[in-house]
Amino acid sequence: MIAQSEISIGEKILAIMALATKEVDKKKLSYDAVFSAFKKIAESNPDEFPEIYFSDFVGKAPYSKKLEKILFRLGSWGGISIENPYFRYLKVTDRVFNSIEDDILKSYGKDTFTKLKQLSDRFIEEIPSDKREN
Amino acid sequence: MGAIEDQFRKEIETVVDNILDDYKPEHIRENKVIRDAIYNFGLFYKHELNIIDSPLLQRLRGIFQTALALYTYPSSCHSRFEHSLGCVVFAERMLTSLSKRDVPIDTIHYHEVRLAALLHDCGHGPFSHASEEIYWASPEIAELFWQLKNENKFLFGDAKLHEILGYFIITSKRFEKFFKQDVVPLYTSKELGFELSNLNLEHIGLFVLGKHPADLPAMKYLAQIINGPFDVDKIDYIIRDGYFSGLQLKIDIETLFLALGTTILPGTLEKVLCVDLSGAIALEQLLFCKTLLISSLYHHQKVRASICGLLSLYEQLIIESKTINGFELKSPFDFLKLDDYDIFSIRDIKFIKDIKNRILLKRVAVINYNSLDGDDSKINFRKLQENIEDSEKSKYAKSKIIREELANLSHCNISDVFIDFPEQPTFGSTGQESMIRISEETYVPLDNIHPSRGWVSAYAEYRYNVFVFCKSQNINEICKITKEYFDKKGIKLNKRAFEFAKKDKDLIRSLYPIV
Repeated sequence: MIAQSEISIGEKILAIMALATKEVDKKKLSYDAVFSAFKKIAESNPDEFPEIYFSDFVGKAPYSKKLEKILFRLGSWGGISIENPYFRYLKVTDRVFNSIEDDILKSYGKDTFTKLKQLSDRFIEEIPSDKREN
Repeated sequence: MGAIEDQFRKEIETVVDNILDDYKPEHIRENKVIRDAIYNFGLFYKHELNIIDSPLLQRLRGIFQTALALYTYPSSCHSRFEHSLGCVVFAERMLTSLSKRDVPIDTIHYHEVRLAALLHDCGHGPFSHASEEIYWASPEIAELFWQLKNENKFLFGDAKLHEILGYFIITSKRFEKFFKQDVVPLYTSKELGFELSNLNLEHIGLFVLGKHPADLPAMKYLAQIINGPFDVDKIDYIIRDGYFSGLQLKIDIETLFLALGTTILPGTLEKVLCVDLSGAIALEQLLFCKTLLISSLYHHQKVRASICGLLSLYEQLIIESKTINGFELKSPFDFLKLDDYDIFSIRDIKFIKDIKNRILLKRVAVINYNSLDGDDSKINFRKLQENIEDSEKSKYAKSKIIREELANLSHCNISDVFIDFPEQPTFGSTGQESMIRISEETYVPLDNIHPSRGWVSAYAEYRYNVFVFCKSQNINEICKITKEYFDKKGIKLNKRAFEFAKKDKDLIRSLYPIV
């Protein structure tokens, strides 16, 4: 395994989504709602998400180039997948879903886990229940 | 204004002064029509011709639009110059379509948009986007841009580096002096049909960044024409790069223009571009053609290998403290004085001789979803890439550590080995920010009627490749070392990694002996 002392932003994003989906036991989250929720927690925790900027567009969902790139990479290596209906949902893959807690504790330690759990609790609060699916 | 922005503004003055040099525009009697392979012909106004003829735009003739892709697609020799002219013509067509749809366009704003289209790429360095990769590879330059982005996240946070430099050029005092003192007095308002001095250079600079003046939200659609979800830059480069590389791409652009309109976003004063449902298919074509261009052209292994070669050249220039035509490459502003021919003219550098003879780095391994064995390998590679890509500022330095380790293990020079993580393509703004008019009252983002992210997801899983490159001399040895190196990191490359890299079957058999 690769030893890492500090968690990268991409892994943080994946961990927050995985812990959040475990909390509510729904594996799929609306793509647009994920962007909106990350915008809110990034704005209230700017130090946790450096270099993630959201556009000032006041359309349906906020947009961040860096977040899109991270989600693309997570999809490239089987961390997440885009799911139906209508490709509008993001799903944390089963492997990540099942092992996320152990993985964070083993790779980054308890303090990081506690911080990520707080962020994921805040994150899932921002995702309306009708934007979560199984 | 922040301290770093202030530093950019001060340094850009010298550069713009240097570029414009003693150029003195002369009165031009008539507007001119310029022919082109993509847009057929376009009309350019007299004051625009003065800017086109200036060294600021003429430098772009020497910057290949697709960098060194011409060594893979021989006819891809088009430059940033003709692309800039193409953007003006497409901006004109968009503005004309809008006015036919009863969107009133102020004459001054009309000319500001045209000039923004003309000047939008004036901040490019040699070899187009490759110079941006070089900026991030230089610790001092990377730090400067990183600080600027953090200092003013709203304006520069998500902007590309050439857009930032373009903004500073257009809003510089020296460019203002050139425009207001050298160009404006050449024409009376009667001659042009409007008062040229009323053009606002700050507006033009903001449009290049995709921003509108904060107190004028009704101007947002004008900024979107230049830098938005389906801007003239994308329209021109997708069609032009496809055409000149020989790829067969088709976009029903006339339908898109005919379907163009504007709307006020609910609850805001922002006027944005929108497209009738009938034009949505053209937007989908735009997105689809972009994915094809990325996999076939921008992320083509030989194109990426040539960009790694440029990074290697840059490392060598810095180590040997070489200058190019008297210019050092210590700041991003130094790059603005150069074009591709300046780089090609450097003597005594083997890379230049090699590139001219098309001796490029070779693939060692292609790492993608299908060339990694098992879930653990994918997880470990994902963690490795996330760690490397954590910050734009440190990406190059972190990937260099892997190169150093591979080079040490194979007893070769670090400049002989590269691991290349091509920039992930972004499609989201087109999907999320392109508003489609369903009825007079209902507007939805493009993603709601055609969720193109299904393509993006398929692209991520099936088309995205990370490359390991090296010089051809020690390729067999580096193949073996690369496999062992990743193996020790818990990343098992299967034989497809080397099959995708078209390695010799005997070499692959030796790497994967049948037990």
